[in-house]
Amino acid sequence: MALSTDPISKRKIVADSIHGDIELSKTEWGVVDTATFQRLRSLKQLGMGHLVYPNATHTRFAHSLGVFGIMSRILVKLSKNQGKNLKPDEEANLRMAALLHDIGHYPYSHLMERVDAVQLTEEELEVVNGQKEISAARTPYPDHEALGRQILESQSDICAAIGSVNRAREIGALFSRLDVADPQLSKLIHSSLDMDRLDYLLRDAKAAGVPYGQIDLNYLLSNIRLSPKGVLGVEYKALAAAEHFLLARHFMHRVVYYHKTIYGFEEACRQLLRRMRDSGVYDLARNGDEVKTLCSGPELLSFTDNYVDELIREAANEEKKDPIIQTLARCISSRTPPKLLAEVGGLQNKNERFHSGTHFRSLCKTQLPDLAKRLGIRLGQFLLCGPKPIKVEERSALLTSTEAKNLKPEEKEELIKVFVRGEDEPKSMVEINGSLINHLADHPYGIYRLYLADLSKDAPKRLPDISREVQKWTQPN
Amino acid sequence: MNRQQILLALSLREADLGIKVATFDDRLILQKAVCLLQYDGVNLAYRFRWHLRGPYSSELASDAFFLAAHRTLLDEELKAWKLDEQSKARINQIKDLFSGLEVRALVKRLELLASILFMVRTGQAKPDDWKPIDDLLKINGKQFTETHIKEALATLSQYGFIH
Repeated sequence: MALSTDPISKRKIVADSIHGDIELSKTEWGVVDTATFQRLRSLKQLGMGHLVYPNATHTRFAHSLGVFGIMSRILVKLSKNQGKNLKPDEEANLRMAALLHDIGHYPYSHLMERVDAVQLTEEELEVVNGQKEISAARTPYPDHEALGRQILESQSDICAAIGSVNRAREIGALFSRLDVADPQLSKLIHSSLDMDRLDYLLRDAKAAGVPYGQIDLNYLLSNIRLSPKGVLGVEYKALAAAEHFLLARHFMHRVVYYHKTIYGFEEACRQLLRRMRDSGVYDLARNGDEVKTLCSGPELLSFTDNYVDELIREAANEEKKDPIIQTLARCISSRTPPKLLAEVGGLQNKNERFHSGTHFRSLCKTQLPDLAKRLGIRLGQFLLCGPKPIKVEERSALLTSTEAKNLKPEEKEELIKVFVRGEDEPKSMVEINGSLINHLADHPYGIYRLYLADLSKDAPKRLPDISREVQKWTQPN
Repeated sequence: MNRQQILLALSLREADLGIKVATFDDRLILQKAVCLLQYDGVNLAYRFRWHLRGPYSSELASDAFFLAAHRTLLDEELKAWKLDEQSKARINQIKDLFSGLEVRALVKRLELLASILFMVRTGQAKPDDWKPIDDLLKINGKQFTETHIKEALATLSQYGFIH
């Protein structure tokens, strides 16, 4: 049921620290009130961010309501800016999709979902003189949107609150952008300028206590409209606000999401979970099918941050076979972060394309086994990681501006569009000569890092020497 | 390179496709081929969404550009890895779908196959009814004929994607 058809007495208002009052219909409130949705209260939005920023304990629950709040405002703005009203059921589905877009989230944000997106340092080094098999046969952990669709269709409380399995499917298709019949609608949830980002930048910045995510939400929303072909864009006068939004995201990555200590803890945890899963000794879903089974039954309610906390505790305390698992677990449980030995890269010229990082990585590969042997440190205690390059705009971080401009519409659907004066259809900012983004597209920000998880009593003494040696690998040829 | 990128490179090599991103047609072939490989049970873990030309994964696009820009490093890394036999067998079962035509025709074939399969697997169309598929394609401005669609359904059935 759309909000407009709900009697006022049946509506609920939630006070949100970012967006103020958020009004929900009876049906929407019914969804929020289910145990399945309430699980989101037990998932921290910023993963292990609270280990550095103590107030960053806000949850997916608050974020989901925030995204819902922004969607409500967007729908009002679209109607006001161009008198275009969506059909009541389209509007209701978009609001519901915004509310439920993170319903399938794993514990600790994206950490568990990307358990295989780790560098394979140790495994690679083990096979210098031969080949090791890597399998595409095992079903990987599904992404959180796929898991969300599964949850909506299999958890009876939320499915009943939504109204029917068919509607649950429609909503899942919207928040996953699977809808073939009207793909433009779901861009409100998935694109560079989407509700998800608009909320998390503001919310994460406030919770962390840093100013970098303070975007001009009101001005952006006031200047948003659909083109005659149904493409979402912002007016040219809001170009600066849109650029600022992308820069805010860039700075939030550098200061919060890729903070050296937070990322070190998260990388340790990713490596830990992968090792635990692959060992087969621990009670951890071994493949994607097992995750889906877990999330289709009553165990879903225990699939929270505490699920991972328990695994870490178990691995830290038990004398199981793998000392690397134990070291990684103890680093996290005792809040002894892996030490950053070296970081290479940063903002790069388009022609360099990350070469300093790949050079460093190659040296790590050839030099680390010897260093580890000399110091009596297990290779698996070294965590080599290359966080995803920060994209000022979707994908352009990996392309030169010429390449980015030559992308076809198919490949630019998720870019922020701006209505250039005199043109009916909006252009991406990468194509606008006067835009900062046009120039920054030539300067990707990419880094490689090498950490050491070391809890031995010798660690404080030997760390400076190890660090000095590793620093030599960061120098260009 | 991470596990997902290595799996992608090995799978594309097994499918005789390689990492080609120079032209839009190259990239479209890569996108639709990976989509079909995933539906065939080669688990590369890319998330596909519906775009103007059918299923598209921006994560895959990023990885493909990254691998293409680091060919020397990739060749070096791949020396240490081989793909499991089960996945190789699956790829070999369908890899002739990715060849035997000139580029433009191949693009059209893969676009249609991947689009139909995406609709079927996401519950938006049924494999035994071409008309709703045609309607959805028309909404998206596609010019495929009834014959094209029926032939594509037959191909998908022949290769075991739909029953």
